Amino acid sequence: MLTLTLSRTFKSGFQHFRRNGWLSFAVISIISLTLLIISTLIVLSIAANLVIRSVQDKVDISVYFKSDTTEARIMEFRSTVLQYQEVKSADYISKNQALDEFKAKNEDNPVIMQSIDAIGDNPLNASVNIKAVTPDKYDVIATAVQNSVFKDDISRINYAKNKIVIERLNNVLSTTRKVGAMLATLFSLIAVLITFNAIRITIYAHRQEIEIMRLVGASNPYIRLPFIFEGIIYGAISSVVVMLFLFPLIRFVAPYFGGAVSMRDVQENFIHNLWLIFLVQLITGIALGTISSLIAIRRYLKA
Amino acid sequence: MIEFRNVKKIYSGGCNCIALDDVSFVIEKEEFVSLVGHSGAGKSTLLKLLYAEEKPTSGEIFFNEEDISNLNVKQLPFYRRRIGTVFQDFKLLPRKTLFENVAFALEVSDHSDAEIRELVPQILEIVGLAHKMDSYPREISGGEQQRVAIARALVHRPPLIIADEPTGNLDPISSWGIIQLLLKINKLGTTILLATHNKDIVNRVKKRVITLDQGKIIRDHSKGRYAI
Repeated sequence: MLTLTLSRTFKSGFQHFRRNGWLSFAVISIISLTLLIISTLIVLSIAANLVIRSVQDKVDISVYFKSDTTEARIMEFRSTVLQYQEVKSADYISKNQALDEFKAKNEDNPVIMQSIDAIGDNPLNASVNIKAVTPDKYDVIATAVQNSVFKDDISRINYAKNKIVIERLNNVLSTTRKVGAMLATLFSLIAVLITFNAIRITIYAHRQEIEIMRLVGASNPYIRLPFIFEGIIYGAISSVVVMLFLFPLIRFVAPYFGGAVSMRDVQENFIHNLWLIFLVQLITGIALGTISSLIAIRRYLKA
Repeated sequence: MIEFRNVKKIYSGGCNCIALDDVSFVIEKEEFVSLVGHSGAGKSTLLKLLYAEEKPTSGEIFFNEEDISNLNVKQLPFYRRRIGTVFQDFKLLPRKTLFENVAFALEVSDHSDAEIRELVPQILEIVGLAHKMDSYPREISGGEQQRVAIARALVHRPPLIIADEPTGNLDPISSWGIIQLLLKINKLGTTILLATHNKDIVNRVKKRVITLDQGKIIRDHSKGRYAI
């Protein structure tokens, strides 16, 4: 009996969908746009996270040691620092390494190259490059280093100079996250409301059918089910449509993130999560269709 | 078969109109009863109470000795499957073919597909529309739509058919066709309650006529004429 009801109401829902071409097309367009907005926001936030991470990787603080500090002492400092919870990595750069890097950087500047040769001795200090787990931890790390037992060996910490940059980065990060979350919520809400209204209108257009079904003696579930199946079909088709649009969209958008994120990263990320994204779309689409139908039909079923 | 016992219906809200005022009557099995009266006399209200779309303010309504004045949501569909209804605006499902429209009445009461395939063409044959089975309601004339509606009301063989102005939208010839069809159905043993304000029809049918005026029964003649 239940399977008979289900198969009949599904058939009926599918017929409604098929025989109402334009209305179905309109509703599917609206749900697709909704899903597209939501998934674009998701893709943008993934991309923004990739950008943020790559910028974060470039920020660090360097601790320079006095020329007479022994390498052993510096390594001791490094292992101490590495024990801090806030520290992600600490790389030792010896005097010679620093000189090599400096030379490589200033190859094209003959004045600097000449003056280095003129000095003869290596004027640069050995240093340790520290990277924090999150950018807001640099302040804590810098203070801790300044007050540590190694403070007499340290010639300078370039934190003050980097401080402004780091603080600005922190600000940008937190505002980006906040604004992003706000926009995502707002757009999702608008999109969901529009979908709900579109489905409400389709059911309103067929309110007389509901009345007729009741007159002929159809029970409430029997009246409700075809509309729910119709909603499910809308949702399922919309999610497929969105997947077809999303891939070209990402190809189109990715280059605008410039060097910060490689196109391959985004695409790999996307392809890797393809089924997950599709599944989320499908569930969202079907849930949107079903719940909207259920709410919209309720008022016509009051006995 | 049908009994109204001191039925009163007052529509609450803006007007507090008394639609039916202390109405009592009995309709026996296999009767053909015409219900006449001006617009607003209470015909439609009386029928709505009978197919349980409205509940009486006071009084009782019996269908086969069963009180139907207070059905709940669960019982209502089962009661509706025991009666047939026909309306002025046909009330066919626009997204379904004629076959599917008639089949729908059987589908909701869990008839098997085999039964549906057998019964629906039979009933469409009776109303003379078997050849248009796969058309949609919008593709056929008003008279034909009404015959489909009658076929749907008839297909599960209910003991009672309620017809509310079934000829209201039809020309005189189609109207008389519909009435003849109802008379034929009545002859085969189905009770018919017909609300109409078509004088010609009532006078030609020469069956029992109940006349309503301002919510009261003012006349009830067994070989009635339309007279207000």
